[in-house]
Amino acid sequence: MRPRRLAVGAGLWTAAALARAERIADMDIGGGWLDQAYRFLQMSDASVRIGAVGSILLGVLCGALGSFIVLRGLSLIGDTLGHAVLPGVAVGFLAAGAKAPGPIFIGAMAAGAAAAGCMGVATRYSRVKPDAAMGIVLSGFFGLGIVLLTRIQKMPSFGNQSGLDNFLFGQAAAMSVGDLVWLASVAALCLAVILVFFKQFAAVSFDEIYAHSIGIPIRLFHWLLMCMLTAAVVVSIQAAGVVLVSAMLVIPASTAYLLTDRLPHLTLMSAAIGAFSGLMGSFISFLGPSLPTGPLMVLCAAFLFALAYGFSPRHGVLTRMMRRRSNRKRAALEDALRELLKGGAVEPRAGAELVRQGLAQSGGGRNLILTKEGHARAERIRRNRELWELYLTREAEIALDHAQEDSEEIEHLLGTEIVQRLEEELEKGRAE
Amino acid sequence: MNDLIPPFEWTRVFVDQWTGAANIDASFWVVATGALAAISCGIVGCFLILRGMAMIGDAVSHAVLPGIAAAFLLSGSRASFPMFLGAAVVGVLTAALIEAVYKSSRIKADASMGVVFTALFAFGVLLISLMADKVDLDQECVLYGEIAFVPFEARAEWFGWTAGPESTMILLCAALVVIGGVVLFYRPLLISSFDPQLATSMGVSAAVVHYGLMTVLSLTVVCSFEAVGAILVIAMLIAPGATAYLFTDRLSTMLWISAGHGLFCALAGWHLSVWLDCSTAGAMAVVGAGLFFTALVLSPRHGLLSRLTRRVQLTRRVAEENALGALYRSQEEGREPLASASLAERLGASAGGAMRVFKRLRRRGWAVQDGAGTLALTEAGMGRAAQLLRAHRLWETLLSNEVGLPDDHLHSAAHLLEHYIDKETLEALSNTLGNPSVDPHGRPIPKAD
Repeated sequence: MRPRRLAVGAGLWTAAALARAERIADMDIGGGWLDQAYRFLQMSDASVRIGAVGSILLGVLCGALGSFIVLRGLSLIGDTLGHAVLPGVAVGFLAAGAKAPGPIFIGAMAAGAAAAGCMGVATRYSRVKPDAAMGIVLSGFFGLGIVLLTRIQKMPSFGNQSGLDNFLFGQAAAMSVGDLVWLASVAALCLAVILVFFKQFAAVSFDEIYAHSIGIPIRLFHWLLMCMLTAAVVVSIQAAGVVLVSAMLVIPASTAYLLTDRLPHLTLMSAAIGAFSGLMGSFISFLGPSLPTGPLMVLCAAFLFALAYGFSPRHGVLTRMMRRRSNRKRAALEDALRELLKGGAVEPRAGAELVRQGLAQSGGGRNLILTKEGHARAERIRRNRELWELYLTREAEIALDHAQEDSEEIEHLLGTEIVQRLEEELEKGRAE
Repeated sequence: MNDLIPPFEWTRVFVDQWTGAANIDASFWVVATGALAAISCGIVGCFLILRGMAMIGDAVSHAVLPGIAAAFLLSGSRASFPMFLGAAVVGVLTAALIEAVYKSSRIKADASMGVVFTALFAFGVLLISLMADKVDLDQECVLYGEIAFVPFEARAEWFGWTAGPESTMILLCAALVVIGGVVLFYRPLLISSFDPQLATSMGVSAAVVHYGLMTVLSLTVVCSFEAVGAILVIAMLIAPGATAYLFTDRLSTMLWISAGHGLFCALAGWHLSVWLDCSTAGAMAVVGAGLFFTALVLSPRHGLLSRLTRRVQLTRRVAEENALGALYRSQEEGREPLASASLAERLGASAGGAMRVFKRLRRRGWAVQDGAGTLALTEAGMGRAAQLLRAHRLWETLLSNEVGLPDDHLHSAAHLLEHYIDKETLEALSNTLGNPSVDPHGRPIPKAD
């Protein structure tokens, strides 16, 4: 039920922001960054509220949708669609004669559909691989968009239309109430579709063949996802820019992918990360002049990704490295204990560690003797090892000399529970 | 709205651009710059496409932006050595970073690419907008370059000899490096692109080729930045190679075609942009993608049109052969000659469709139609039909003897197979079956002609 509450909350906030937007005059940018930060936190300027709410909605929308495309290995589709809607934006602009969200939305949806169609044709009916087809569609459509935009800027009837640059790089502060309404409605619609069909989307994302076998129309859901993606890209352009929308689709979802293994959590987390990045992006961009929102939003998301990449509890690179290292340390310690039990000598470093942990004490000179605790622990380790050898030779039928070699490595990894079960199994085997 | 597409004036678009010294100079340098960028990118792109790494081009072309911006900030000029170094380093780092992220974590390759290059690009855009008042490097330039201004640049002085505009000369060097590299390392590149395992076994290091390619890629992208901007480079990287890939299987031919594609894009793009008064680089990208989709339709071997033609031809041939078979059987059984309407019914075709088939049969001289509308096979038609029936009945024999299909299932299977066998295979089939003279139903198998 949590996502539903989230959607309702976002909707209410948007409504509140819109209701107050009319009364407040346009803000002027000036003053130091501290003043600006204070103004942002007060949320008294209409454009601040619109920018912030827009960025958060964008983050939620792109994050939630992104979790599915990242899972399906379609990450670069977002990039392609982000570039490819540009001619549609230009045509919509041309048709309306101004920056009206409606015509631009329709034009961009059409361009997105045309791009997806071209990609399909090029992949299906030629030997060109999907990634090359993507590259061609992306660049061809983007080129067409640039041609149209430069053309429009030179047309007398539209002379000097400013604001077109915002399509390219994004400026949340330049969003109008109309833009926000479009963004909010698309976000609400997409999130509702995701909520209603969550099971179907999950099945299609994880295993298409399974999804097909239980009667889910996979093509329908694929196209539904593509439509939602295009819509999300179009309404996000105003705040994030054509180029950086794809980043908001991929980065929050990848970050969440490093943090969790469950799809509902993935989608929720990805939306939350997107929302946070959006908020931070619009906050920082408000702090000074010439700080575009889109790039800042993306950089915030990228920073979170870097954190997760390093420190995610389960999948972080540094966490894994530390876990490996502590495993190695434990193994070295246990090896040393076993050596001592056998009466052998140990390396000074391992010996020092044993003494530090109170498992051994100096027995005069360089000799070490086990303490009572150390002795008990060493005995336990020896027994584990014997059990493991027994198991390997009996159950897995591995030759004894090989078993010893393997057990050297593996004995350290066995938990007490497994050892107990192993013991029981072996006792049973012996009794029979 | 009406002035979106200006009227096309042949003289203004084509003739004027190549008359008068000033115009010729401008046109020449724009086209030369575009062509050099497209050729060097196109050649690098061929290898990217063959290795299935097309989107790496996209990634690197976005990701070099912070390198360009930082070097620009440091050196204050656009065509300087630090700039190339900065961007090339960032380009190679990008490739390495993408690989590191997806190899060391559970992130997949495409997501890793998406995360790395968009983040770097965002950083680059931020840098540029932060220093917008300090240096002349604006956001438009990032997106689509300023190729139309190339002719107005200062001319490079080489050993006291005045060469072309600086960015053109830089691109010339880049093109020479790329072409020289391909000529020198043609074989290792060829082998490692088509068969990486063979290349490894022959002592060609995959890592060296990969990072060598990435270095050259970054260099070309940086050099082309001036002309086409960071994003449209992707058009020049992929469109030429992908178009060439539709025409040929040979690497050398592919490289030549992609170079030709690049040259044509530059020329046609320039005139398109003169006509529409729009971004030249954008026009070049549009021409490039347009050529690809034209080739997709028209390519002789892999094109949609030739595939469609082949399919239509096959459908027609099958329809004709079915009509021949039906006529032959009816004459063989000694029945009355068939009226065209009942034949159409037998073939399961519409009256109109059947009429077209009969018309083709008559034109080929295989059948004649008398005034009453009945059809009869000619001598040539009989011979042709006999060969078809031979195939049909040999297939039936095979399906009965070897596959063990029941007799009442033989006809429909053989009816499909009869169209797809050539003469030699048919004789081989007959030999294998011991040259039977009757089929499982007891009907005679016609002799080979």
